[in-house]
Amino acid sequence: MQKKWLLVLAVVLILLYPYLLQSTYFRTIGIFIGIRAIVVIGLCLLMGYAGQASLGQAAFFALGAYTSGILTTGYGFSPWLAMPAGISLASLVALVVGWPALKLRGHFLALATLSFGLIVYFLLKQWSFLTGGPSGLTGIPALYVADLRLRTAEYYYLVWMAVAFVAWLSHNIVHSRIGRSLRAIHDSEIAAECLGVDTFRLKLQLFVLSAAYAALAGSLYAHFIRFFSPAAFGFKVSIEFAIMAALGGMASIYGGVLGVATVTLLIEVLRAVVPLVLPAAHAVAAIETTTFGLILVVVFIFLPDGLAGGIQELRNRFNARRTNIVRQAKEAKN
Amino acid sequence: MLTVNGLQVAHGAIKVLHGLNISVEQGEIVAVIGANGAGKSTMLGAIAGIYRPSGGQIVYCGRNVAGQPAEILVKQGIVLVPERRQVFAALSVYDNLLLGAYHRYRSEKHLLPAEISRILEMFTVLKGREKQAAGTLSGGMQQMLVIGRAMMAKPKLLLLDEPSLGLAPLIVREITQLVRSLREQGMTVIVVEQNVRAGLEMADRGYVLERGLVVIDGAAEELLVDCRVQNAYLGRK
Repeated sequence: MQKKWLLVLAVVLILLYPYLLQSTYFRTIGIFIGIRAIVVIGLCLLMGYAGQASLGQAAFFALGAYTSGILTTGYGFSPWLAMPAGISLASLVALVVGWPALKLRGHFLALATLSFGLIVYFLLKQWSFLTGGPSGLTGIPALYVADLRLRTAEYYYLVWMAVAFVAWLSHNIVHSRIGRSLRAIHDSEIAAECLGVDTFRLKLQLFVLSAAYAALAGSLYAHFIRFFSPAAFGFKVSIEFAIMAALGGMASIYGGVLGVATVTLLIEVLRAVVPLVLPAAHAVAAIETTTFGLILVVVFIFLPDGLAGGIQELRNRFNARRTNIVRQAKEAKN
Repeated sequence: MLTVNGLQVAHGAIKVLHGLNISVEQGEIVAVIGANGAGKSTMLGAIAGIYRPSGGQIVYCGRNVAGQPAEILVKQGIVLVPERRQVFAALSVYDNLLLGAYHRYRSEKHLLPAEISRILEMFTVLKGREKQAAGTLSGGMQQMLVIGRAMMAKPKLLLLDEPSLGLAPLIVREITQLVRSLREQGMTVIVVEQNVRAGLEMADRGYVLERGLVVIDGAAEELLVDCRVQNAYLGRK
């Protein structure tokens, strides 16, 4: 099947989803997939294309959510103004954090971003006067367009419009001179530098962009869920984002979305099934963690390019087989 | 064209170059030879702006460029081909060549397809492989590709780090001829080699480095028969 048709099929499915599954539960899952997809697309750009590991994306997600939450509940801002404010703050923080952190490479960068994520998480818990502490923020306003309140179905389309915008922007970046340079950095940073690519600047720009994506997702999350606590932005969430990117295929924007959908649905299935089999209190969390570990092992062994890579390989095989059949038919005819 | 005076470079606490002096005239091919760890690649990296010198001068076309970053030096015509080839494995041959012209992509975008065709005419082994992933090329082809990629940057001073590393003798001969042909195009070349014979055979002059200092220098032909070079690097007693 042509790539174009796969994309059309995916768009049709996304558009019809709220009508095919009309319950609020399924629509909410659709919204969560969209919100997480925005974060993971940024992560795919950073990890898959530029080869920079980040384990602190949940912190930028939190900055977007909390800025929106604090500005709207505490200072009377319109959510539509609070959203760009959150994106700007997260971008600025990414610039400050990325400046020293992106001079580190490989595991050290992953550790630096992980530490940043932990610092933000603890600050969210400690700064009760601003963030509400461990209890979190409540009473965050819903989004309105004119006088129309965006309920689940409308919110679903808003989120997926944001996903489409982020995917379109990322697609253009990947297929530009910058995208080529990013893949060059991924393969050999030294060789890219030798050709005059300002590798540090490019990595920093991408880090800031991925933080901006995460903050946008955070704001959308805040105005949808309308109540949250620091637990929604912990280390585990950063790891989940990384797993989603790895499962979908880090060097593919659409793979990222696929990874998010798969992991989110898997979590929902586990939450429904595990209590029936294992009634112990922490069984779901334990099984989730184990499953994520297993997914990573399986992906690294059998699908190093993720689901997107696996699908591409299947397409290649299918096309090769079809070419073979056509050739054999021609030979038989002759 | 290039004068390096008292160049000092350290990697962390380890000092690699201890006041190195070399000079290169316009249109020359200069070989820098020496054992592993002598500081050859570090010297090239410092000239290309990859490593920041802790002392000394790098005077290029009358200006001290020591400490300037690579992206500035590439625009001024200093381009390094790093060791172990380092193609962008996931990218096609065409995209690798296109990246060579990174710094002038915006201003000269319309000229680049013709320039890539010219490079492919020069490196015939790459012709017809434009869409092939660079990582799937043979070692010799990859070496040709990285030299072609560097030529897309229009260098005045080309720095080649171990171009013969891990290649069959026949390919090394081809690379030698190729490097010589670059001079005819007005390029100045510094080639760093552990393969002493290959390095000196392609060069006009040579420098022998030991522990971050030049210990012998002279015409390449003379160095090839110099008993100190022969004893130390060519296995003759």
